[in-house]
Amino acid sequence: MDEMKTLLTEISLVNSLVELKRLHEKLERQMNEQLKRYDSMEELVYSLSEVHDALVKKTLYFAECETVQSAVGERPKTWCWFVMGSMGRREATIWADQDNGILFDCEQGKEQKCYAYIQQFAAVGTKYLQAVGYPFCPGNVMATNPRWSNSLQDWCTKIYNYLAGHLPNDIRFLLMAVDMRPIYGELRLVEEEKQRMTEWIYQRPIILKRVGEHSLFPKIPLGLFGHFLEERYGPYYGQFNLKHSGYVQLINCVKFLSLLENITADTTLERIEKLKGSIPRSLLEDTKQAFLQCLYFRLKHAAQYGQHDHYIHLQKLNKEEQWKLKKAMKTTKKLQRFVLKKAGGMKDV
Amino acid sequence: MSLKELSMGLDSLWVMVATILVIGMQAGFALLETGSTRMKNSGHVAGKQILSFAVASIAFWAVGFAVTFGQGNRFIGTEGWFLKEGKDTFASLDWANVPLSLKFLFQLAFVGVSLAIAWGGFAERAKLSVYVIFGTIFTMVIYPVIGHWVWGGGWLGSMGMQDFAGSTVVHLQGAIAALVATILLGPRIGKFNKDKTPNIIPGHNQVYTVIGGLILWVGWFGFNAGSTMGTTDGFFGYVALTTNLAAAAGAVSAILTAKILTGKADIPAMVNGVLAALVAITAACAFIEPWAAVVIGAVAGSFTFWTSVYFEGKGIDDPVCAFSVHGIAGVIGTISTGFFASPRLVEITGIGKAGLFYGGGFDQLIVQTVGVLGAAVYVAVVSFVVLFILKKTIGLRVTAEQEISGLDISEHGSYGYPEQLDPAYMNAANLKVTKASSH
Repeated sequence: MDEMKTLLTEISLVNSLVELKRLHEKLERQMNEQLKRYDSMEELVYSLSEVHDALVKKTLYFAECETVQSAVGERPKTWCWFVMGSMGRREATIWADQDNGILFDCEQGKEQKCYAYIQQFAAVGTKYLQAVGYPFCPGNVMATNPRWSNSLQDWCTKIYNYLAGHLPNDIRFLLMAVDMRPIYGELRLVEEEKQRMTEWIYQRPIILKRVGEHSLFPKIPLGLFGHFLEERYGPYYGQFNLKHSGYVQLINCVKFLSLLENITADTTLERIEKLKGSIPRSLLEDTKQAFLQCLYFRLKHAAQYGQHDHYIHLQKLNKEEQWKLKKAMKTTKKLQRFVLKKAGGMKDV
Repeated sequence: MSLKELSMGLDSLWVMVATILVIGMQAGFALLETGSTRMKNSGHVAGKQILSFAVASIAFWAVGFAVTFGQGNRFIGTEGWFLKEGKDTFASLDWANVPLSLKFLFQLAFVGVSLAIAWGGFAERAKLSVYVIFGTIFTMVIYPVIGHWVWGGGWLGSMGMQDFAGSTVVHLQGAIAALVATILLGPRIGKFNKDKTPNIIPGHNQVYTVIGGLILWVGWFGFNAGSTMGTTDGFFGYVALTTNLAAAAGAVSAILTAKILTGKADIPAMVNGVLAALVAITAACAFIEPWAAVVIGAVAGSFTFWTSVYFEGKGIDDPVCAFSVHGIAGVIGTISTGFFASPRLVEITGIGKAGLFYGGGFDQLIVQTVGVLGAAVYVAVVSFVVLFILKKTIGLRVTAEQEISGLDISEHGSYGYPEQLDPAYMNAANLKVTKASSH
């Protein structure tokens, strides 16, 4: 992992976006090497996450300087840039999409000016991140979207609305917000809100039940006879979606079980650790192994093909890899059945 | 009234009912095909069903019926044009104790079905004029030739080919024409990507597809059971039983196969499974035992789902899976009697021999295979020649601009769904909503 430490030092020394992009590309090359001789997937993913954090922080530092210089609006008293999705969970591969937002606290009467500043910061920040190699989120889960950049007051109102669960996407938004992790600015601001949101969800069995049911989809693409189900149409015809092959379902199941126990954590592995005693030991261990297996496939795919998509030709996996992937998928199915039992047994009003 | 006259009255009534049921299948095809295709072509796809049956009615009356059932040689009939009846002109149909007018109407309904199947391969991109021209030629010189070979005293019938209601004569023929058409027309715009991977072009209304399937299922009682053309021995009830068992098995096996192969319990696949099973049992319905009907229906429903996926993967855009559902299932059904024909039922029908599983040897299997191959080759060659000439002369396909705009507006000047597609009506519909909500 010495190469990763060197990379961190290099990131701290550079002074331009172009150089940051170059280091991002270097990360891809190094990851290819690391995957051939790593000892622990946990450590590998953690060190990768450290590099991503360093890249993002440095990029946001440049963006902040630019925003301050542009003198748009008024800088809020406190603010924090947070990341969600795989980066929020410290599981990002190499070219992860942006999933981010901003929370801020502003003096009364200055909200509009603060919003103007934050919007400017969001626009510059997301643009710079793209320049460094983090593509815009196709679902627009980004700081430039008013849904994800808010004053504390507006944020709480939005979360309350999601908790009402009247709209189809409410549960999806809550599950995204649960992954928020502060990365730049006043970290405490986001940590406190995350803690509060977890508490709110914990107090609402109806919402928890829906979160549980949500984690059963999309269906694991394994046929009745345990065979892989490939895409039938479109540009990925004949290929296999790695992201939906168990990874997404597994992290959502773990999220649900954590929320059920009022556990606040950043990473999936942390959540799994804290679930000791809440789910059968063998299932817990299988879940951990399945998760690490999913990470391996995601990383390998990203490092080998440098693509932003999640599709792979199964023929490119050897027999052993296919067997391991199938085993991880079966474990996720087992975990889904456990979640269904838990969610099904909850009070339904 | 004599017993013979009473019998004729009852048989005639039954054939009339069956005729109405089979002609009613046109409504089933209209709904099935429209539901399985896009909104912008809906009026055209549904409407051409009436045009097609109208063309077939006149062409079959003038020429087709004479070629199929008229006196002639082992290959075509040469007497009975415009339904003109002389001594023994239609001797091939003497076994049916009903008036000639009913014989004609009942057989016309079958041509209409065969033609409706062929149109599946033309869907969403063929010119309206092609429907009229090819429909006429198909009804005069393609369908009747195979009909004559099997049912009109031709060489396949003489060999003892078992095709009770037309798995080969009606369905395989239509399907081969559909396949030739879909290959000559080429895929719909947007069906395949540059790297040849297929895209899904979903039908616009699954409810239509399902209702269409159900109408066809009901209509098939006229198709198969009606093909007894008689009531006195009650055999039509037995044929209806095997038909229904096969359809049920097809539905279950198709939805299971779709679930197993793709992970989705696909509704259109289930409907196609019903139809494939019905197609397969069409040849066999009078020759096989009920258990065999379940087996044949299940195999057809399951296998044709797989073939529809396979053909799509090979770059063939068959919009409503006509070739798999009617062609592959037609082959399965026709060949199946070579295995499953039971001696008891062969004796009742008086056609061919028992199948391989009943100790009948390979004889019937060989006859059935020869019948399928002979019919397929003839239809493929003649359909290809006719469609190729049309392609080189008037053209088969509308322009890309017309195809993208939709055949409703480009071929007929108005939309099947104006409020959804026509800007003028879309605005008017929105205006009404706005006004209503402001009150």
